[in-house]
Amino acid sequence: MDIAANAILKKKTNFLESIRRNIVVRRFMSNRLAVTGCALLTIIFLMAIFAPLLATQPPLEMKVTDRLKAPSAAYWFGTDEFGRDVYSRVVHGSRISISVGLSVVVISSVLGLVLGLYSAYYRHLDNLIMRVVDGLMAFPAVLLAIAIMAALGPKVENVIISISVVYIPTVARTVRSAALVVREQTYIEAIQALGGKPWRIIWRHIAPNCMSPLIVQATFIFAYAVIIEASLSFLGAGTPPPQPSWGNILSDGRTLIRQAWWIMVFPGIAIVMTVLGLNLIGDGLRDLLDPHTNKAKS
Amino acid sequence: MKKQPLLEVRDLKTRFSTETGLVTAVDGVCFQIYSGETVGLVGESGCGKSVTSLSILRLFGKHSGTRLEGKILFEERDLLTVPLDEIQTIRGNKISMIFQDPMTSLNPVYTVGDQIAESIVLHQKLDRKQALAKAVTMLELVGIPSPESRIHDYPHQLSGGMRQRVMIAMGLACQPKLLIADEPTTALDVTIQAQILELMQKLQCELNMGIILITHDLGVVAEVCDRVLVMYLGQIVEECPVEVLFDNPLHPYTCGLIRSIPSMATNRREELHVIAGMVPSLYHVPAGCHFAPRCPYADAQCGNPPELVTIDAEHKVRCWHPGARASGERRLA
Ligand SMILES: Nc1ncnc2c1ncn2[C@@H]1O[C@H](COP(=O)(O)OP(=O)(O)O)[C@@H](O)[C@H]1O
Ligand SMILES: [Mg+2]
Repeated sequence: MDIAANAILKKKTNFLESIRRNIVVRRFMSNRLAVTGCALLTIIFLMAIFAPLLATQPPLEMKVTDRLKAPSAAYWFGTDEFGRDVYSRVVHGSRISISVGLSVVVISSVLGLVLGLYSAYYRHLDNLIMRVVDGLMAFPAVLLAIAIMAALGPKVENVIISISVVYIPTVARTVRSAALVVREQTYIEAIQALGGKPWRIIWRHIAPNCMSPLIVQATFIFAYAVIIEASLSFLGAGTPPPQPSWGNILSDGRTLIRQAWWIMVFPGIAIVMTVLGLNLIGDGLRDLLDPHTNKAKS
Repeated sequence: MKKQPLLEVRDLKTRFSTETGLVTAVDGVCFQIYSGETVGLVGESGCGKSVTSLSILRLFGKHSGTRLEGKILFEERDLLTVPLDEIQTIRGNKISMIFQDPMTSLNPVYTVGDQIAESIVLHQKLDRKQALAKAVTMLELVGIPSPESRIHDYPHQLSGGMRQRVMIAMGLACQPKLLIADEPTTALDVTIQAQILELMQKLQCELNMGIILITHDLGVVAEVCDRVLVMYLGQIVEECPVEVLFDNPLHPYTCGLIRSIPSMATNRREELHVIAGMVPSLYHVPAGCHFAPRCPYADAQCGNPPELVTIDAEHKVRCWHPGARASGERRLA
């Protein structure tokens, strides 16, 4: 019996894999834009992972003799007013953007998921949680993030906290509306009738059915987090200098745009690539996971 | 010596508070179920059959504004007063329920094997492997061919009949003493319907379960039930053994139900019998006998609410003029 059960388990994982390979991945891969998005994002991720290898100079090293040099063989993206290599700074800046983006996605998804699921399941919590959520959502995202940064002080961890706080309500909303629909399905009533305890029903039976909208939203939140991190740093309320982040490289270059366009153009391109890549992936996932848009397209 | 009933429902009242006020969906229902018997609960849509069954397991959210009154005695305890987490150990374990629509009763993200295993581990301390092995035996029990490979199927890969078999497997995985089947065959086509009913009867013999079979199909009742409860607007209007129901129905509503069964024998051009009028809404329940406005024999006395009276040992009826059909027809002749 033990061997049989083992075989069953093994067969099951193979089965799952083949399903993934066959349907989901293939359909995603047939979407050219989504594949382009993946390629863009892969470049950025590789850049972040291998930053120390890719950088040609230490990102903080100032060469007073080489201030404001135009792009050349020695300085691919030119240098800034302190003689720092813009290429190396942009490469290192990707680490900030990616780590802030990923952390925000994880924190806001997890907390938003918890809040959304519980407010959908326990209707008396719903009023309380949703009023707080409404309150937070009434602020423009960047303004709220700046206010939280002002209270916490400029540190990368605080950037992550403030942007997460901004997006927890959005996730909670999305999850709640999905969970409200799932909660009314007969299979949830059936599992209750079979004696499922609330936490098990919430996490094993409702949560998996709310994942598609959450995954789609997570990619967009990643993109917004990159933008807000850059905005905060640009405004001087984000990643503190001299640590390079795309936002504060832009900020350094803004007074010099006439003499040294390269200081702003290259981090700008990096931001566009990341955000565009994430949005293309998000759109692709939405087409894949949301049955409504599927129908519209085919 | 009198047999101890498995489940005894005494004067059950289920009320919902809605925006338009308090409605009584189940209004003083009393009945008993014994081990090994099948009791049919019949009545038109909206008469409170499902609410009665949900009330037994208290399957209304704690905060949904549902009020339950009366007593539901099961194993010497009142299910309406035991704490909620104790109810959770009874649901699916001692009392199971299967639902009408097998197409939506299974979670789309899990395989059939996983879902049956889930229903097992909710009540038994088994690990995943053991639970999956048990799931295979359950699938075999409910007559699904090649269960070892079927447990890897997702619900959408199965037909309606297969899914209902899976639901039965989930419901019976812990060998409950009572099975509540809420229109288990309504969504299935006739041949599959017969197979599912047969399966339920077979498993009932093996496990000596009591079954409450909710249906609006008197054909199904004639096929599998031992006793019948006829419900109208939240009340039981007639209770009797199944043979008596068809030979000697006493309540005009029951007579109407029986006469509206289409039969192969009747002339095809003959129109089907229809009970006059509509089921009144729960917000406008008639003051006296609930059926009076639609009843051809109603008179002044029917303005007072009738009691459920015992006609003979096993036959109860809630009517001022039980058996009015027979006399009425004689009057016509
Ligand atoms: N949660 C609820 N809130 C208010 N009314 C309800 C609720 N559930 C059921 N009802 C009402 O109770 C009545 C009985 O419903 P039900 O038991 O589902 O009928 P059926 O006999 O067809 O199974 C219906 O009129 C329905 O509108
Ligand atoms: Mg019903």
